[in-house]
Amino acid sequence: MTIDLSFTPTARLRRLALVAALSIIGAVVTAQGLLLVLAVVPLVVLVATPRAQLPATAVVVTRLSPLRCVEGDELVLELEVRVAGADRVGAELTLPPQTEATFEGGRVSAATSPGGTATTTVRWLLVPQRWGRHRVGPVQVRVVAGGGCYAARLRLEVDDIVVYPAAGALARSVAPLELAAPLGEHPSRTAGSGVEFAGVRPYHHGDRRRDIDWRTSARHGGVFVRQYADERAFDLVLVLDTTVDAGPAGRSTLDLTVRAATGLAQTYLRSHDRVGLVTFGGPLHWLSPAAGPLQLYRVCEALMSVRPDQAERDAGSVGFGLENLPRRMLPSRAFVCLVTPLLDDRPLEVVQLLRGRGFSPLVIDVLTSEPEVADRSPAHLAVRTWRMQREALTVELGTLGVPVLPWDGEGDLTGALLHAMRSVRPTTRT
Amino acid sequence: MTTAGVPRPVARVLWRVVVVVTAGLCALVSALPDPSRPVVVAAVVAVVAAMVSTLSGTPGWRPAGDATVALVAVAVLLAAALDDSDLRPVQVVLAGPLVLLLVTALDRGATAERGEVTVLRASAASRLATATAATGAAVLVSVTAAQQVVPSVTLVLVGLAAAVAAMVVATRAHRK
Repeated sequence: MTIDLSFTPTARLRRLALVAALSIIGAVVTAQGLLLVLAVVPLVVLVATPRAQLPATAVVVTRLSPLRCVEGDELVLELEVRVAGADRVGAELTLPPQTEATFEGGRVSAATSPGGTATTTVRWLLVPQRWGRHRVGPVQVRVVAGGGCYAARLRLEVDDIVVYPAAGALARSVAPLELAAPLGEHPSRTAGSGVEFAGVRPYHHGDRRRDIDWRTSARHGGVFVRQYADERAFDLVLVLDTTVDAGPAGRSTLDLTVRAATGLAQTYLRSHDRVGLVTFGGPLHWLSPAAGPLQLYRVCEALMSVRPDQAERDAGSVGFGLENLPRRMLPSRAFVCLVTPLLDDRPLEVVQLLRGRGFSPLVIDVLTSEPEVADRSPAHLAVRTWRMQREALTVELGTLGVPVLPWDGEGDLTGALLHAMRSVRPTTRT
Repeated sequence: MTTAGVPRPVARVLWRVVVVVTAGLCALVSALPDPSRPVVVAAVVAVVAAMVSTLSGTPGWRPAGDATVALVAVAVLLAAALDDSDLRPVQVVLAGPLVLLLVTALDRGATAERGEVTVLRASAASRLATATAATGAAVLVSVTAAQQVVPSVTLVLVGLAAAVAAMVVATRAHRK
């Protein structure tokens, strides 16, 4: 991209002219020729670098790749500058929040063309640390010419990037024993045509001969066949509480909520389960359960736009929206996972609503920090009260038969999730 | 918002030190060998202005830098006007590149404050060529000014006319 340069005088030009003028005025006033000596250096510099020699145009190109990445991935921003007769070219990059940048100093490639124009390419390594849609740039380029007496500023827009949340929470997919959907990867309680051994039973007419367990048959004097667990899929519905975003940036409750949801969605979609998404706290959004890699992108794209909404928080009850969720959004025998920081009574309200519709949800608590207050201060008492309220909420959820799993963003929830899934009992659908 | 390339504390501190040291050297050059009160006052104020400009950061850098350059120039000129020792022409010649270095250091200090990274820079030879030529010209003018000639109105007028002509040429070179 060729850009016309519009130069303006710098402080250097003004200061050199000031010294020259003071010297000449001093020499005129005092009639001493020696004073002119101090004017010589700035005058020679000014005469040697006339405005006519300033470069008229510059070729500047920015390249950013890739434009989509996951938290912690590296992006490369390249800036290519080609300008004839410049004394110095400086660049200042504006970064999105929580993005680390390393300037790879020096010149990756510098060549001089026959016309005397130097081409330089420099690179920044960017590491975005927080999910979301961010704008990289602008890059402010400052071309200094004329012996440092003139400078031209260029503002270069770069690009928008999409940073997907890093998946966390699960090392492998686990499932409850009662599975509704056919054709999956999770062994279910019912016998079927899977590959996982489920037991032996006496031979019936019509059984395949290759299923006969000869060792058991020889031991018991009859013909027995092996049974295998049926492999089924299940529907996972993630309900995300985005009412508040508390805690340090990068590890806030919203960050952990989004990472947990991404991790769960990624793990279960990989094992051909169907995953759906409901967010409340901001405007109510939902994504019907579906399987396949495309669904992961849909989930990630939906997660990009979750933000706490003050108006929704002030509105109070979340029941209206959730009560009116379409039936296909919550298929029967779907497993519902509520990810919430448990900061108010809304999660309890949601759990009661879900139980009313016949689901036994699981709660993942993503609050990892507490307000820091001094001991013996009135705020300390408030924090203790708040802590007790959270404990009471957890106990109340426990009495409803809802397991609460704390997650700090680092640990693996596989074991706890498996235990919780096997322990929950479905309620009667109303 | 954050900016890439910062923090660069070394560059910042380096150019701040250069500003103060250069202003101090200019003050030293103007104050020796026979210090007179106005010159000492101007030199001290110049050094203080240099320190203020380095400590004030980005917002105050430009006006404080202008004041530093002006005060340094005034101190050197006062010293040259009030003292007529044999050493003085050498000191004024020495003050020329020092003032140029001071102006450069103020410029680079402001750049370091902004957190800019250098993408491209002209070769050191081309950057130093002008400064060397300017210093040579200052030596030449100094030697000419130190010649023992009979003072005359014509000579003074010719000298001043030459200076004003140089100023006019420099101004025309920078007109749009």
